Amino acid sequence: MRSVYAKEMLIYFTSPIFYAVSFIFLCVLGIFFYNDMTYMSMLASRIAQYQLSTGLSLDKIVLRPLFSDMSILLLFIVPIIAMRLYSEEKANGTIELLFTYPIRDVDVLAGKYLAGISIIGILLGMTWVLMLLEGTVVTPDWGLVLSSYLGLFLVAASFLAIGVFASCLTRNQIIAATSSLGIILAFWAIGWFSDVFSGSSIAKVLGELGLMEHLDDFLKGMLNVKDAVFYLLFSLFFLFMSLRVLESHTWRG
Amino acid sequence: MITVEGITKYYGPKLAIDSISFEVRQGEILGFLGPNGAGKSTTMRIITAFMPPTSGRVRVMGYDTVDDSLEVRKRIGYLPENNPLYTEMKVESFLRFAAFAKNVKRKNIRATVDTVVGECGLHDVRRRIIAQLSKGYRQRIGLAQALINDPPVLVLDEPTIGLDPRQIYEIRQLIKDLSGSRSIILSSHILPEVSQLCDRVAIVNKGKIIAVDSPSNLTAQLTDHRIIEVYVGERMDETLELLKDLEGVVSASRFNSHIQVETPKDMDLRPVIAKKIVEAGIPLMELHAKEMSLEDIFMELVTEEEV
Amino acid sequence: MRKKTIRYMSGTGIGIVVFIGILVIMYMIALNHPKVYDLTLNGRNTLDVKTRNILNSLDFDVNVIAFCKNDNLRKEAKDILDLFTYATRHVKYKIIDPDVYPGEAKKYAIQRYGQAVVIGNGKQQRIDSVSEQNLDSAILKLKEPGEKTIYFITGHGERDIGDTGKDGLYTLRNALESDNYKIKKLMLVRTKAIPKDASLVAIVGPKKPFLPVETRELNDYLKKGGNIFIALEPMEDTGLKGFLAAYGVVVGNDMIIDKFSRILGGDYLIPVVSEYGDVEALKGFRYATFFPTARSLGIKKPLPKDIVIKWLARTSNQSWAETNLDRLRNQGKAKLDSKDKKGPVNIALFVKKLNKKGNSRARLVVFGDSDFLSNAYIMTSGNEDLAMNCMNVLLGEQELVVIRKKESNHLTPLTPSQASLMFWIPVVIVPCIVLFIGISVFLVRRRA
Repeated sequence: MRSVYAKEMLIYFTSPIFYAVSFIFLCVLGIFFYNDMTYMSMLASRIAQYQLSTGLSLDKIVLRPLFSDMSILLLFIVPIIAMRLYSEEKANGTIELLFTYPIRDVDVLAGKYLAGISIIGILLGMTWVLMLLEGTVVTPDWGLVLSSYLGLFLVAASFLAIGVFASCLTRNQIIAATSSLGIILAFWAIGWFSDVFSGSSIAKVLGELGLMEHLDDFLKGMLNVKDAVFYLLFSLFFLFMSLRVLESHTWRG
Repeated sequence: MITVEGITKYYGPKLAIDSISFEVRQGEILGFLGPNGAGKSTTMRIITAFMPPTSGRVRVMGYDTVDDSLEVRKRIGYLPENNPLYTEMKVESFLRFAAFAKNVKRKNIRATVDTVVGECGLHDVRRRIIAQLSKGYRQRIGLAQALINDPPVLVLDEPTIGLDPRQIYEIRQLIKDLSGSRSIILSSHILPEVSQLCDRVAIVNKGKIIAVDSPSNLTAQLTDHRIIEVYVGERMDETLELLKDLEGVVSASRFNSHIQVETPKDMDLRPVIAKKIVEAGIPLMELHAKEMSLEDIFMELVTEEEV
Repeated sequence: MRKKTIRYMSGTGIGIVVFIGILVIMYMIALNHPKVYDLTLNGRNTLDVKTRNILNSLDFDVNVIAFCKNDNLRKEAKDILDLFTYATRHVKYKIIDPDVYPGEAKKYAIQRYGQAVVIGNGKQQRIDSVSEQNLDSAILKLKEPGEKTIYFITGHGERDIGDTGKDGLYTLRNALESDNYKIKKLMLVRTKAIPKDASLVAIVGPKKPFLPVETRELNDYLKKGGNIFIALEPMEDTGLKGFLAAYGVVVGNDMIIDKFSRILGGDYLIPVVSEYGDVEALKGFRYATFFPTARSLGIKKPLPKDIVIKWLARTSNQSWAETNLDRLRNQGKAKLDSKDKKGPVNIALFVKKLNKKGNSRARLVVFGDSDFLSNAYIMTSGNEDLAMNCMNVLLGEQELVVIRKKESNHLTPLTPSQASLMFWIPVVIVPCIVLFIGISVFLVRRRA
């Protein structure tokens, strides 16, 4: 497992795709951040001018929108990070090396998944620049920041599991990325449907299945054990399915 | 070391290999010979536990490739067809990964990598990126990763394909050097390679094994006809008629520059033929018996099979 | 060979089904053992101790239906309701769009987005907005045993609760009934005393004076801990002046003129109120209310020791209480002069008479106007909510529940240099550092 992990990390750090993705991610997020901050600034001066007392807080104006933008960005970026994990090996034929080395399939999967997780961790880590920058102007609620990062990390881990699964299905990286994006969007949309069937038991089930629904509490500053469990089980499910797909190459012929 | 017991593999409805059985003994190089699409790579993949056979089984050093695939994989070095490599990695880091993945102890990794780099002549390129290297080097890297944990069994699928003659020579030399006490299976569709390198040859066609034996035995076993080539200065048609009527001749046919006479194996008709031609006043330029090459056997076997 | 494939496939299929089953069961366990930790430093997502006490002692199921469109209001409602459901299994909620379910909205007399109805213990309680405070009060009200009865006094030309005309109180009655109150009429002269089950006595718009017998009945009722809601009209002598004076309320013989009202589309004679007193029931109340023809209410000085008065609603400082009623009546003219009380003028007061232990024994809410309660005006802006909230001051126990607002960090304007930092560092510098690292990795590798 550690060997595969080390190999994947090495390839990530030498591949242009990682740098390109990080660049776009940080740049777009930076623009969002700048917009949120200037909006906050404008509100602040207006509040000062008219002596209003409002329930508006930094967390509501800057942090919550920023983190929710981040989750949307991750939705697009994680499939790109995940797409190469198996598809590349299939296209290059190196999967034959990997599967004839004395490493269990589970360990290979774990190594690859953890490498993806680390890349996500690094991406999220780089966004701390924004938090520190904000900290120079106002004091954010660090508890809320922490729980938001935890939630983003968990939701990104779920995206990654979907991405790995899609990558197992095909040797074409583009197909892998688009189909994982499709699956993610489907699980996102399920949440909206729960609004359509509002109040019924279908809505409840759909609401529990929606990927983004479980992020809300984290972004509010709460650690809801149920949501964390959901993301972990969700990831576990797609990793399990990935193993089954990988295993099927042995009997499908 | 390797026992293959009646393995059959279907790809969907398509039969790829059909109850193949053979054995590789300790320290032996077995050549797996057959045209493209004969099922060589499929057999290699089954032996290396990359995929299971539809039926039958393979044991490597007593371990079943399906039930104990991990144990099998520990003991096999595999150079897959087309030699896939992580081309964006540097030679050394790739070999380190291979060593790490093949359970070489942490502290021994450096030494192990140094050893295979030496064995495979990769000194000059160890810090280069694989993608930038020539095919010959890549083939060596493929061999190096297969060798890295010093496995008792090596499976090499078409190790010389796509190389230029000099590289082919080098790789063959390398394989010879590597053999020692190892058991090696080597697949190829190039005859000279197999007859040069291997102790025994298994000939496959259309998923079936046609013959397994040493190259010399195969030659002896299959050459039940002797071919004599006759070169005459002139009157070739007349000579042909003459030879056809000769007692003991199975057939005679005219080629561009010579006449080929086929005779039973246990008779040597050369003196009789010479005498006859000279008697007829035809100038005899040359006359010799042709050794049947493995290539001919191969062609023959395949042709026979096709009929 | 097919058999083998099928066997593998079905094996895998069963494996997947079993695995999904295990996952679902694990998730169900997590669902049934809710655990939520508030990580925010100011405890923004933590319900007040008082709320938690209320919820912990709940012994019936509470259903909340909030009526919101798909907007911020809905989000806020969901945030709070989620906290309630995390705290107790007894609370369940749904948020529906009143435009999609007009039947539901009508059933619960919903008039505005953001309102909600709290149902439980065989009763229902409407709240004006979903907030911790409102939910607490509603739940407390549901908990109280039995129905509360409100007696509307008749016999002095008061507005009629059965009247559906523009002067009637039919709309108010409906709203009260949908909040589980029993509404009854009471003619004071015919009874010796106010019935014991009276939670509240309402006197809305009397035109004829009260007899001394009647005011005595009211006093007796108050002494036993009663609650009275009075809405007066200007230019009417009701004989309640003396009665109210005993409780520290000075009923002004005047009419409130409000210039500010004109700006808001009202009339000089329809004072508008947008400032409300420091009473729990009116915390966060942010609607304007309109009072067509109102008289001012003053606070007697010095106040008797056992009486506490708080103003509930007052007009802006662009208004005054005109005392020259003749000129107003005959010429339709009003002018602020030295005799007139300058704004802000109290239009509603809350009176508490304390007993020796310092607890309130008698409570009164007095308005200088009754038109705002009539069918014609009650739906105007926040009128109904104000009326209901003030009745709730008298009826409810929510004085016990005070939810303090959580502190939140302040917004700070950016200085120009800060603003440019906020742009250059995250948008340009940091991404470019990453890009630079990437390019150098590429170059170094190519040279190798």
